[in-house]
Amino acid sequence: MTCPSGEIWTAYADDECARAELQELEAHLAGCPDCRGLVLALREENRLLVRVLHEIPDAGKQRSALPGLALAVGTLVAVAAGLQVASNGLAGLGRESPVDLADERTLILGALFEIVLYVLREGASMLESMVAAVVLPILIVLGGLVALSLRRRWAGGALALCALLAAAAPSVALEVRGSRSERDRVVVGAGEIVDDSLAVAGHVVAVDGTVTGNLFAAGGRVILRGTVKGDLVAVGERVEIEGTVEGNVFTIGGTVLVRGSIGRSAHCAAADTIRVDPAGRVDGDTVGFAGTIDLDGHVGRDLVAFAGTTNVRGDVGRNASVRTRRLHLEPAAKVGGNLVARVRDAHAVQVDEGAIVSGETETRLLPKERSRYARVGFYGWRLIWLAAAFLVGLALHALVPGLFPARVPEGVALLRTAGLGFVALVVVPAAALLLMLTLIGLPAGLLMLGVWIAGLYVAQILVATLVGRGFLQKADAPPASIASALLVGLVFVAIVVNLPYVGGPVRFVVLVLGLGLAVVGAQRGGTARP
Amino acid sequence: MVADSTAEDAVPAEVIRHAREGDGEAFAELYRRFSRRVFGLCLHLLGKREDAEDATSEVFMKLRTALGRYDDALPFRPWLTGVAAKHCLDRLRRRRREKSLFETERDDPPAIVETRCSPLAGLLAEEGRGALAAAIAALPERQRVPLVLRYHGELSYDEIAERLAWTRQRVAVSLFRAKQSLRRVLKAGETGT
Repeated sequence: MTCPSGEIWTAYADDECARAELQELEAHLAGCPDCRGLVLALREENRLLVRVLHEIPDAGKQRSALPGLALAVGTLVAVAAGLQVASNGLAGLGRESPVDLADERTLILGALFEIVLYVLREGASMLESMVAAVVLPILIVLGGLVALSLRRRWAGGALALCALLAAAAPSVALEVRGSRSERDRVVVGAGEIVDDSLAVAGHVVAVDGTVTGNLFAAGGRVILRGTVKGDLVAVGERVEIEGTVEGNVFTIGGTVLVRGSIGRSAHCAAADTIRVDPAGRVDGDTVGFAGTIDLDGHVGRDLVAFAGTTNVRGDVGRNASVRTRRLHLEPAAKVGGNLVARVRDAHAVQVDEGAIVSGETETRLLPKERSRYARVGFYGWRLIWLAAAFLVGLALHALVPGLFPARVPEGVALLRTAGLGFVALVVVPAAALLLMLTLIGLPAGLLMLGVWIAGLYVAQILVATLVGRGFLQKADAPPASIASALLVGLVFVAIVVNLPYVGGPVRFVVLVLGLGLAVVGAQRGGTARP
Repeated sequence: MVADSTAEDAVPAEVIRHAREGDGEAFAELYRRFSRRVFGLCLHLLGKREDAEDATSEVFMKLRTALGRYDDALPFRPWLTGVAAKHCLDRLRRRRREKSLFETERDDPPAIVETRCSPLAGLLAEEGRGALAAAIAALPERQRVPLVLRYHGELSYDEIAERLAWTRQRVAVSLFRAKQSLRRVLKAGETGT
C-alpha cells in the first residue's frame, strides 16, 4: 500500500481536500498509523503557525524614529521635569510664596500649554508635509508670549536648559509609536504588554494594555485604561486616567480626569479643569494648576492647588494648601492635616457643615496687587538690573559703537525699524524652534535662541540710550556723553517699564523698537561711527 | 482557534449598523476590536512595521465607505480580513510596479520537492517561536502571502486563489512549499547551534 504524498496530507490537514478524495483518504488513515501520526503533526503545526502569526513581533528591532516625535517626547520629559521642579519649589516655598498663579496667569499658562501641545502634535507630520503655514503663526504667537513673559533673565536659561534636556532625553530603552495621519488612533491593546518605556503620539492615544516602563503620551485625547508601571507623562487636550499608574503622573492638558489610581504623586496643569472622580485616588501628593480643580476622590498625602475655583468633596490625607479665588469644602470633604487657603478676600472660603479639617484651618488674605512696589527687594533688583545694563551698555558702546543709533528714526524709517523689530521678536524664536524640530538643526537653533535672548537685553539698552540722548539734547550743544545718556535713559526705561498697567505695553514697544535698532545697527556692520 | 478571536467575533449587529451610519463611537469600537488583528495581518503581509501601521489606518479609513458594501449575513471578521488583505496586496503590487504579483514563480525550478514531510514540533519554546516568526518573515512573497492569508487571515484555498488570481492547485503547492522551507530553515537552525 502506497501512502498519499505529504502535499495531499497538507491539504487534508487544512480541510481543503476534494470531497471525492475524502473517503479514500479517511479509509487509508484508518489503516495507516504513520499517516495518522503525520496528519496529527500537520494539524499541530497549523495551530503553531496560527499562534505565531497572531503574535505581533517585538517592535524592538524595527523602531520608527521620527525626529519630530523624538523631540516631542524629549520636550515632554523636559516639561515634566520643569513642572516637578516648579511644583516642588512652590510647595517648598510654602508660607511666603511670592508666586501668584491663582488668576489670569494660570489661564495664560494653560493657553500656552495648549499651543505647545498643538505644536507637539503637529511636530511629526509637519516635517513631512511642510504645513509650516499652519504651524508658523502658532509658533509666532508662542514666541511672542515667551517674549512678553520673559520678565526674568533666568527664563532664557531655563528655556535653553529645557532644550538641552529635550535633546538628551530620548533614551535607548524606548519604543516610539506614532501616527502620521490626522484621524488615527495609536492603541496599546488590552492584552498587549509593552516591556519597555513607550512614547506615543497620535490624534487619539488609547492605552488599554500594560506598559512596564514609563509612558510618554501626546495626543488630542490621551486615554489610559490599562496599567503603567513607571511614570506617566501626558500632554493632551483631554487626558483621562482610568487605569493604574504605579509611579508619578505629570500631565498638561485642557482637561485632566483621574478615575483610576495613581501610586505616587500627580502633577497636573490644565487650562480648564482637573477632576479627580470619586473612584479616583492619588496615593501621593497632588499638585494642580487649573482653572477649576474638582477633588471628589482621594489624595493620600498633600494637596497643593493653584486654581480659579477649587471644590473639595473627597478627602486629603494630610495638608491642603490652596491658592484660589474661591474654595468650597462640601459636606463630605475631609482634610487629614491643616488647611491653608490663600485667597483675596475672606468670603472666598466656604466650608460646609459636615466637612472635616483635622488640623487647623487658616485663611490668608493675599496682599494687594500694589504690594510688588512695596517690597524693598523689588527696588533692589531694579537697581542691580540698572547697574548691570549700564555696564553692559558702556562695554557694548566701546566695542561696537556702530550698533548705537544716533537719533530716533523718523517717519517711514521708524515704521521700518519697528517692523524689523517685530519680525525679529517673533520670527527668530519660531525659526529657531522649527530648526530644533529637525534635530540636526538643534545646535543652530539653540544658538539662534541665545542670540535672540541677548538681543532682547540689548534692545532695552539701545532704546535707553536714545531716550537719554533725547532728554539731554540741547539745541546748540554737542551730543551728551554716552555714559550720561545711558544712565538717564536706563533710569527712565526702568521706571516706565515697571509702572502698573502701562508697563507691559511700553516694554513691548521698547523690545520691538530696540530689536529693530539692533538689526539696523548690525546691518551697518557695527563698526562705522554713527 | 486563537484565544482572543472569540471575543472579537461576537460583534453586535447594531455596532456595525451604527458604524455604517457614521456613528464615531461604534466605529471606534470596531477599531478597538479589530485594529490589532488587521495590523498583524498587514505586518505579516507587508513585512515592515511602518508600512503596516500606514496600511492599518488606511484600511480603517476605507472601512467607512466599504461598510456600505458589507452583507450582514456574512460573518464580519473574515469579511474585514478580506478587505485588509486586498488593501495589502494592492500595496504589494504597487510596490513592485507590476500588474500581477509573483511573476517570478514561473522561474522557480520545477520542484526539487521532497515529498517526505516532517512537521514542526507543536510546542516550540519561545525562542523557537521567535525563530519561526523570523523564518516566516524571510520567506519569499509568493510563499509568505498565501501562508499569512491562510493561517492569519483564515481564508480558504479558494478565497486565496481568487485574491491572488492563482489556481487552487498553485495555492496548495505554495503552502506546501512554504511549510517545507520553514521546516528546513528551523531544522538547519537547530543543528547549526
